[in-house]
Amino acid sequence: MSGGLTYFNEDFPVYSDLVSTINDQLQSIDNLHVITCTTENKNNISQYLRAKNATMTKYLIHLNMYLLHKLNYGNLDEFPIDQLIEDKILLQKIIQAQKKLQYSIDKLSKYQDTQTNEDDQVVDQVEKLSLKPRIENLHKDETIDKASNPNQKYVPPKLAATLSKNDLNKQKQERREELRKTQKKANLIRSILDDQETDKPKEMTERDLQQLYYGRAEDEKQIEKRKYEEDHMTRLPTTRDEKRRERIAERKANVTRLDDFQEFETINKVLNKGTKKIKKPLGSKLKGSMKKILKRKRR
Amino acid sequence: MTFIVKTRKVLLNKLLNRRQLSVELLHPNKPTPSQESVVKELAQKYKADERNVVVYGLRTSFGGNRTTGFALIYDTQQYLLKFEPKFRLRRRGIIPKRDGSRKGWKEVKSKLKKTRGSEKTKIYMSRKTDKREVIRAQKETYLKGFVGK
Repeated sequence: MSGGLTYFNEDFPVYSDLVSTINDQLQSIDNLHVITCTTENKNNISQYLRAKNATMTKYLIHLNMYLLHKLNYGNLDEFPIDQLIEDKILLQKIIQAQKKLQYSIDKLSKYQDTQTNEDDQVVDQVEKLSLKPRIENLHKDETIDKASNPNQKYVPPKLAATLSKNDLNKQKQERREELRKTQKKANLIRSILDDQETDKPKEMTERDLQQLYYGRAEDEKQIEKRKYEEDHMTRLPTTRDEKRRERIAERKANVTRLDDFQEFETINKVLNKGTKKIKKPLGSKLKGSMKKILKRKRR
Repeated sequence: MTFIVKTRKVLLNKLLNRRQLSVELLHPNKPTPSQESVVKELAQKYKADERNVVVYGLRTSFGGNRTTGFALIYDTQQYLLKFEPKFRLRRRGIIPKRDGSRKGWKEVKSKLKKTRGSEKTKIYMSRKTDKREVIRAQKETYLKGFVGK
């Protein structure tokens, strides 16, 4: 009993110092709170710090009481231990969250240092320029020592212009639009020239030849595929994309204009000319065992 | 003749005793020509026996009028039987086609997944139709009946 108290008495001065520092910090936070009343974000951080320190002091007070109670052989059933546990858990969570807020807390403390108080007066407005980053605090490269290599020349970093992906896409789009414009113009002029009937032979461009020869202009991928097939004497299977593209191309080739339905009408007339609807015999739609049963019955 | 035959990339393969070439057929406003007609034309052009010429991979381009394919012209029928893959020999009728359904093969496959060791090989060999000895025998019978020009 007395031994416990002696230990407590020995440690008490250290403990009292710690508690006094916590009190001082609380006061400084109060001052901070007053200074940073203008902006909302900083207000929340100062409130957080106040809450943290308040919970710390509360926990310490309760701990002290518990210790004294135990040393004096007090009835521990009456002592509210649940509150102690609650405070401890709260503190642990607060300290975990502090890691995320560390940057803004450091910023605040830096701001407090840079504040100029004339005759200990409080400054209301925030000066953004005072929160500039400091190049002096950048870590220097310890590998390069000037003392070891005094003749080392300064090598500036290599700078190269880089294109972002958005720029590339924009360039492609611009090129496509330019191509379309030129093609439209060329088609117009060609149509005008075609109307003028002359004996001169028509000039075949590369694209026309490709279309003639291969049916339609080929993509780079198709050209690559064709070359591979010819080199290795094999046929590669057609992918779903290729089939889809062929279907689309067929549709485009068949339809000249959206409002031109005459072709479809004539095609339908030609196809349906002289055809009669053939009635399917009974049971043609049946499958499997039912079909077999029908066959037996007919026999 | 209703179509024009053009040959490109002719390569003499001495290791496999054959000539390899890519074929281009031009048939404007007509359907794609049959394999037999193409074989006849190539045999005439290269002065070879029709039975030694193999044509495969015929594919018409979009819009029609043009097809591309490949051809192999062997020196003798023996080399053809030796180096040609079995599926092409089946197409020609030299080796008879496989009996059995796809479903049966899938059932065997599912059984194989569950077994291990010697039982697995037994199940596999019970289903396998084209055994090496059988195919060899079939080729020999075909060669005996073959009369060269």
